Amino acid sequence: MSPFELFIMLVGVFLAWSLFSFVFFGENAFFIFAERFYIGGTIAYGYFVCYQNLKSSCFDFLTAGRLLLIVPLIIGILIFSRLTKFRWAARYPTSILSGIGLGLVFGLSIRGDILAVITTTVERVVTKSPDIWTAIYSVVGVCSVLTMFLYSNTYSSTFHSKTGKLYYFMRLGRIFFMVSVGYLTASTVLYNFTGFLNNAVVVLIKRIYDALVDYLTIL
Amino acid sequence: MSEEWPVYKRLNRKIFLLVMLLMSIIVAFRPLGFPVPPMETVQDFINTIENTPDGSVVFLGFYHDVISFYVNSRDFYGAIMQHLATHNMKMIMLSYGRESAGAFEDMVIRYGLEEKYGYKYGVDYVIFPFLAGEESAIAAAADLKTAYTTDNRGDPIDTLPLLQTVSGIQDAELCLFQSHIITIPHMFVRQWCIKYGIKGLSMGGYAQVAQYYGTYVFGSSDRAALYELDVGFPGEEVSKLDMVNLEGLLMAALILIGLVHSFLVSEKKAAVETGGVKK
Repeated sequence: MSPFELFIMLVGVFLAWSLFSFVFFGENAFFIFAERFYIGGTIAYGYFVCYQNLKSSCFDFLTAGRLLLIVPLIIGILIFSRLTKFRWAARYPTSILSGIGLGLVFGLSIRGDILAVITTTVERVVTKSPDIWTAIYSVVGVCSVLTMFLYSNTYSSTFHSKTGKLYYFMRLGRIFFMVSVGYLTASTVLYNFTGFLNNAVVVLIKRIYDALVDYLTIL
Repeated sequence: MSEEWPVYKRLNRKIFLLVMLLMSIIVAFRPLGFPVPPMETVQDFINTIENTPDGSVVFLGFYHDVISFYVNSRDFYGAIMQHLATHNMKMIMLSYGRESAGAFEDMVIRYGLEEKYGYKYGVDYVIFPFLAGEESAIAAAADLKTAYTTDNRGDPIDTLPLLQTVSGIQDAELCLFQSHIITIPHMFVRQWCIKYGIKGLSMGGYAQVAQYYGTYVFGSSDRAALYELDVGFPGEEVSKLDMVNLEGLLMAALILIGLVHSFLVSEKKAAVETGGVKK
């Protein structure tokens, strides 16, 4: 590690700890400085990335002779017409983007998100994979959770009305659903809290300590 | 003294954070070596790489729009890169977050892809620059020569030997993808795995790809520490797991204390409401 890299690393650590100081000392001079520095730096870097991206995705191709790309460039620029009195023109890039997005996603979503899930769930029962009880558990879970999302009054009263024949099946689905949401939420909260703290310790203390020890050993 | 008993009442967020912080610092320097139980999805992840023929083309899709998401887990990504390198895989590295290309470049140097494993740029691996557009950009991996004019180092695509035999994702044996945003792995699966039948591995959690697991995705690295240990490249994730375990224990202890206290308070309250007479 060169002295310059070490210096940059120490500046980064100083800024990070300045931001972290908010937890213990509230708004203070170090926090405000680091906050402004971070926002300013991010915006400046964002502009740079934006330019690089335009260059690599568009201008490089245009200069290489693929002049047809001028069409998407114009369509892209039209999005800024929202800031002018010709704001109607912004509908074109929005519509085109939505259309392309739907076209890219629609068929593949049906295959991956619907058909594959149904096939896998049924297949597991037939092949008893990973074991018969897990397979049955999965089928019951999938089917019962699906009944929770039947919103038609005419067809869903069997599940949603208290007098409905399959009311308790829907309630079972609710348990499955809540357990899975609870698991996801708990793991996310634990990850966000401990992950943040542990990463801070590793990145801002351990790595700096190791880098300084390495540097001083070399010296 | 009994008035002071519920210690957690005086445990405000600052003290709680400080205790956690001190615990983490101690563990960072003195790992406790908690056991790391095996996990099926991580084993699948390793097996899928092991079962892919040596020298195959592997696509790596990264979506890091914030650099800390790479920096925080770089040893884990480094372990994956080294694991692939031990099998002499040809790596095509695609960047869909604005920090991803930089992350790839850092990994290559930091984990010695060229020095330790003898990889050559353009022959054994290629890094592509950031391409904006999320799903449409990911879909563009099907035709690299149309989507890019140059690689991340500014070399024209046509001059790269690896790209003489690889035109897009359809030529890959395996693809690995990562994002901290839950919808992005779905995009990778749709555009790479479902469309072209390429086996996928998620570098995120199982929950991100649960509906595709076993059909399109054949492994996920929910426990990065376990992966690092199993493939023989232990890194920071191992000590982070120790920290998480210790913090989890502390949290569980506090929850337990809170529950006991809450139970005692409700008992006392009930006794006051009924004038000390148990109903």
